[in-house]
Amino acid sequence: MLADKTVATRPSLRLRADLPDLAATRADWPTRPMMIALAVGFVLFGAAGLELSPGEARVGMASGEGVGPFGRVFGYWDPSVWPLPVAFGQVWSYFEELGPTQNAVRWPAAIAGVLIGFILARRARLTIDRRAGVLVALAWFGSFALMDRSSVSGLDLIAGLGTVAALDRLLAKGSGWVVGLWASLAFLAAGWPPLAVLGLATVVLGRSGATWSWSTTCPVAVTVAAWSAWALSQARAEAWASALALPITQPSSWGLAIAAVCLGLPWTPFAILSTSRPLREGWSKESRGMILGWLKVLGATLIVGMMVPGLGSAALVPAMAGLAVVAASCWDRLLADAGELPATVGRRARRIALLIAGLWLILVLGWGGYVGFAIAYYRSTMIAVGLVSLAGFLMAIRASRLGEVRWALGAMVAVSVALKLAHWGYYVPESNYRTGAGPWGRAIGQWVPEKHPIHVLHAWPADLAFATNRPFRQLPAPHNIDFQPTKGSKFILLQDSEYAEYLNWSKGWPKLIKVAEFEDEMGLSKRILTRTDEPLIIERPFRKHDPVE
Amino acid sequence: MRIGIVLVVLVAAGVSTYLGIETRKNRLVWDHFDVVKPDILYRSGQLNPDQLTEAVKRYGLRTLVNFQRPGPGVEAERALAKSLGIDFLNLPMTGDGFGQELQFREVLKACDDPDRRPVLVHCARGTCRTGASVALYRFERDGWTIADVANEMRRQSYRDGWLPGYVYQMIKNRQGFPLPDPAITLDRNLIPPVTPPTEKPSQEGTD
Repeated sequence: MLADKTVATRPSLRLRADLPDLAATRADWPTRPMMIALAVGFVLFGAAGLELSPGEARVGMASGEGVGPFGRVFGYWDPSVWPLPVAFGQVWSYFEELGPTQNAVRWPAAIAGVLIGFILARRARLTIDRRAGVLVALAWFGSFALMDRSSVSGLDLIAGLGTVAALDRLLAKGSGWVVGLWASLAFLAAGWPPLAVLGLATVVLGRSGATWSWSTTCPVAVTVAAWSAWALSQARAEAWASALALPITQPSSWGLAIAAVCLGLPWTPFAILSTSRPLREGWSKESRGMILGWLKVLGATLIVGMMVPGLGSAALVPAMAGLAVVAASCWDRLLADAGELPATVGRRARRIALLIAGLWLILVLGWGGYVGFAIAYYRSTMIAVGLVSLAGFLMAIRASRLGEVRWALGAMVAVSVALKLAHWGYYVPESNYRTGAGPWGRAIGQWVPEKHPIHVLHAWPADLAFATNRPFRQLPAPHNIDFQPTKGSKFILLQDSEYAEYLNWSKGWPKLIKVAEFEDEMGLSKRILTRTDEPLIIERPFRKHDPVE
Repeated sequence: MRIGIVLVVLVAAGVSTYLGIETRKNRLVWDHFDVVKPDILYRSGQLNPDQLTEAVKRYGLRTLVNFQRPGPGVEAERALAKSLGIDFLNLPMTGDGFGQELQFREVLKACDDPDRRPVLVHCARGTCRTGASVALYRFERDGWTIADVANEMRRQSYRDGWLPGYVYQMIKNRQGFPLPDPAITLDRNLIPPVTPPTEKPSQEGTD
């Protein structure tokens, strides 16, 4: 009520004759520099800081092996690892000195996320206006999902790039071979689930020019056939079948809608403003076509992702893209409002902003305050997060009092910045310290010469194996160590129970020398690094920066 | 609006001051408390008696290690440990953390003994002396690299950078090539200096 009175008694700044038309000036925002700045600040800054989860580590391990129709993990084809992320990882690891690190997985995903944002923002800029382009970029890059990009949340941004680009092309120009190429890319990144999501979205869109045409189908069919032929020529048919059947074994993602909203915070709640008819009526015909198209995509992907087992991961990124486009379009409409929108719409936006900024400030003051006082290492980070969050909250209050949505937008930008600061300065180092396998893997890897494989008798945790920065080979039986291609002494990593078995019954085993032992993270068992009793031949690997003699 | 901003700033400043004072007096949070390895080793700065009692109850601590020099504080903690029925180990060393190897190895002995762990190690701030003892545990038991141990010490506010290297030289099983056995040989081939014979007075008889 207080806000309404303020609006009534105080004329809008925009209507004052002594000020320029702010809406018009904003439409001339330098779109490209702003989009690049947002991408760099929110996504690329600290892009590879977070250690890999076990699932991502499998891609990382495969990036250090040869090219194939599947990733090669522990020396075997892994049908759950598709070739495109591995290929990107291999390209990235070319620049690494000693094989792939977490950069080889994190950077391609970050770049894919940036490209998705550019595709969405470009379409909004062309269809609506420049400001809408920047707002879409802000809603996409400024979301928690793009800051984190962890596969623990189910995000697959490389497959998502293919899916979102195909959907964008379908919405803008209808079906065609370009859509087929993007769909093929998505298939090579994650298998058939993205194709299923695309197919259903096409049906739901129901546009005459956006059907699944022959020109779309042909590139996809050729890609699937070529990949199948490649897979069947390189591996057994069971591996090919496993790769295709694996998604069906996954459970349904009933929490997909909640996940999409939470990962898109703090911007996704503003998508609810699209329920306002006056706001929708302000969109031009072209704008409405694009935005309603993404709304349909959002609904379709959420339904199919939740109902059909195995499609949750493939549906998440397009659903989030739909939410970002719709939320940003609502913001654009609010900022362009010249008085034709009912006051309730702006008031609702300001209240949502105030709620988000207030809840975030409470969280920061509570948890962040405790962390800042308890752990001196994070104190400066938490002070910065607190100050930015406080500024955001004050802007949200100011927006409510003045009835100006620009201040509410400023509050949301401040919340995004604070979120990024908290993620970069607290979440990443704390997560690495608490749950990362890095120190435990590097402890083992330091005893093994560069590029020498570590042999194991069973599959170890992939994140631990990847953190050693050495190739891992799983042996079917201990005596197979004699048939490994490397020269001289070979390293074998054993559990303490396996080592005791070796000591008690060593007939089938090669003679081993104990190199080092390590307690595990909980102190419950030991890992014992051994090597075969042969001369240790260390071939110094070629380094890229060696001078040419 | 301005009054609101001033109020918010005043409240924030007041809360911060209160929290700061409570923190300085060690009442708000457990100073530098952290879990090194669950059920085996914990670390902290100086906790007050209530916090120590709570820590013993919550984590089932059996050994309390204090790296501070003997004094009223150490004696009070010794009495508290006795009343709580847990072992108390005093390993006094200078505040910079450069203790002797045999002192740090006492912590490892306690950690290795199932009847004596979990162990809480602490000094005044929980940074240097405590950090050095945890560093030896990381090196000896977990096999961490020197870079990772240094990172963990930085996380616990140790910024000087000397202690990881100092503790690293205590490790029995260091990464690297083993020294040949014997590691040092010395062949003394130098010709020993020739001392001129002392001339004795002639004993020959005279006619």
